[in-house]
Amino acid sequence: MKWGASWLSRKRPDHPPLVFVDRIQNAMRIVALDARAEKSGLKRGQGLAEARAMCPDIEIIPADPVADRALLTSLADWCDRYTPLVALDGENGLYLDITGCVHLHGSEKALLNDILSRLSGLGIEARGALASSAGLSWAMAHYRSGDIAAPQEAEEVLSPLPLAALRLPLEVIQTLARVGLKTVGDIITLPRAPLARRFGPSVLLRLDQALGFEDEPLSPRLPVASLSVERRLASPIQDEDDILELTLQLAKSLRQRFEEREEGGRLFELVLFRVDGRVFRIRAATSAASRDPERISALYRERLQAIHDDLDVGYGFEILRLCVLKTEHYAVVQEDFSGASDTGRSLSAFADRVMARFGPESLSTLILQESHVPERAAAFLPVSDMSRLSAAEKTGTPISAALPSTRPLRLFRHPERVDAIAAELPEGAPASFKWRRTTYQVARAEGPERIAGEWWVDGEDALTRDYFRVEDADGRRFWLFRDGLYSQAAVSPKWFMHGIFA
Amino acid sequence: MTDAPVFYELGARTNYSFLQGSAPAEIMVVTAQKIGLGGIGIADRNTVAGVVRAHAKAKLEKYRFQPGARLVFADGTPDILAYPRNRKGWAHLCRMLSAGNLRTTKGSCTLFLSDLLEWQDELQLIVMEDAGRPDPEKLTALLLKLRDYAGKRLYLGMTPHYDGFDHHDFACLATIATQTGTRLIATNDALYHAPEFRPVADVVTAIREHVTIANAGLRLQANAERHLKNPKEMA
Repeated sequence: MKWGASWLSRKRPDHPPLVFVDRIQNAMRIVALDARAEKSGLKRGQGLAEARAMCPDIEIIPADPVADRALLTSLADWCDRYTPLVALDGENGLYLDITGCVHLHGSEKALLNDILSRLSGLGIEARGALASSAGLSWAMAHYRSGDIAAPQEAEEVLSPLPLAALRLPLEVIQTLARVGLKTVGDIITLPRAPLARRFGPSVLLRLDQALGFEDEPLSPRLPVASLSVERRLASPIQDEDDILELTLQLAKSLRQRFEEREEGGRLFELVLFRVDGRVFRIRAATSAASRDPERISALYRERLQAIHDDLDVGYGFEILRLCVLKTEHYAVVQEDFSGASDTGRSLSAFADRVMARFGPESLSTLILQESHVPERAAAFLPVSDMSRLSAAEKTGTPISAALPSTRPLRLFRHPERVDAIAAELPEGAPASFKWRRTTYQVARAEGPERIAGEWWVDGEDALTRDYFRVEDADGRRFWLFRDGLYSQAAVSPKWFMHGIFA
Repeated sequence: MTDAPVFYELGARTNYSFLQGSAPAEIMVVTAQKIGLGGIGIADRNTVAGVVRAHAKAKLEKYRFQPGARLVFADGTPDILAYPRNRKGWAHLCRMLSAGNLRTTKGSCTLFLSDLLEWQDELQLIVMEDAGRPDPEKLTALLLKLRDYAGKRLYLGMTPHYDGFDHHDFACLATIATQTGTRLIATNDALYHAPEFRPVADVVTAIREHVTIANAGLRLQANAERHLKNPKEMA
């Protein structure tokens, strides 16, 4: 494929020969060129100065590999309509594994024609072929575009093709050419052992791959969804409500398949194929496995509103596909007759909708952490991770049962210094203390609760705290601690206020 | 130190309480002597295996040593420390542990309260309060039951936990002791000999619970108080 060729469709019949240049080994060289430039004798890899001398009126455009790549990926996205298994090949090729997809398009011939004609309709000059192995289809796409080969015809089709059709490195092809081997047919008949010895194993590997003797797995560009349903439309839709309505329909048809597998979806992807080939992928996650069509469609209502401006409807969408990227076991719950809604479920539905709209980081919840150190006993966790957590919790002991002691209602994030007066030695509460410029007389005290530092976090010489529940003369209750034991610290340990009860 | 009260640590566990105690028996004995304890009693979980090494060391150091075992029951009874008064008591203790060992696979020991009632003759018994808040009714019932058998040989152990409720607990235990006519005995339920040894105890706990230190959370001890303490601290 020569990207320059797409200019043909832009109604510039009289455009000058066009070349794309890039800096290769410190010299400007042609990396791509259109048919007219090729006709005037220019070649890929030629220096720019030389090309100018041969053909002074060429139009020169600096190559943009990033844009080329982007075009290829968007093409791959577009090809998703034929099969979910699309793999990129080098800079300008795509592999489509159409196993099991042919019957949707009638026949292999119809499928190939459909791809090629639609691509040319998009203004892309593409070559393509369909064969039983990736190697063979590559060879045919480059030398016999538009053809289809049955597995048994492989040898016959390959024989007349030049060796370059085997995807061999340039040096190997040159070496083979030097001994008079020019076409694939020349080497098919040769004894294999000497061939491998002289020209390296790559020759036989590529030959076997093309002939289909050797498997060549394609690595799909995107993870293949475990479940997907799609709807092809005769006339494109533009309206958001229509999209949502169709999503609901798709979700309904998913339901049956979920039930067969006893699963529900955790991560959904709605793929929208726009008429002009652009593909939008919209993901929505749920915090618990879900198969309820209404809920899935409600999620997408939020998502569509959130990305409203980014979704360029253009001339409308012709294919809608709903994929399930992540599934999880779905526990069927029997509802009771009272019809009261399950609060746990409605909470997760709420969380899903908020996260669909504002992003997965928008909601977090406080969870208990197992730690003796009070400020480490709680942590924020994104709600999206909740299901993972609850699964882990089921296996462990219930934390609340293991909680050591009463904790104040309000725990300060940072303990505040207090001046303690006349603390009892060695392990007693102060008789009075000064906190925030007010002096409090201690009427009663309970303690100490001794909590040592976590040596694997704070280091070996972390101070041990003695916590006291203290009540002042007016009945206010505080949680004080002494940072360090009298025997531990060289200087007199400091006192802190860490929280208040009620 | 002469006017310091005499204190015998009787709840000490050694590393023969597999994955609970963390200090070797010899070190426990030596430390006890160094910090001026009047004597030490080794009571490992359902075994007397640590006694041999501790005894050998104590004999060498000419130190007062009391062999015993910590009886951990399978039927929810609080742990009970058992110290034989004489050769006959020792035989009873060993017979009882053998019975427990024979009951299950190697490496574990299943004891029930009925075993103790059968073999309690000539054993000094110290009932240790349950971990967490003591349940007064259960404890009282147990003490009354044991008193019928052991009489004056029965004690109630008292251990400071430093969890903020010690005063409350001690008061509670004292009441129970008065009600049931048992005598109180102080012990620190030591798992290691010195506070610096806490990391080792934590690692041992983590191994026992099959978790990493960072994930062990509340299964670890909150503080480093479960070591051998000198008489002054205990008083």
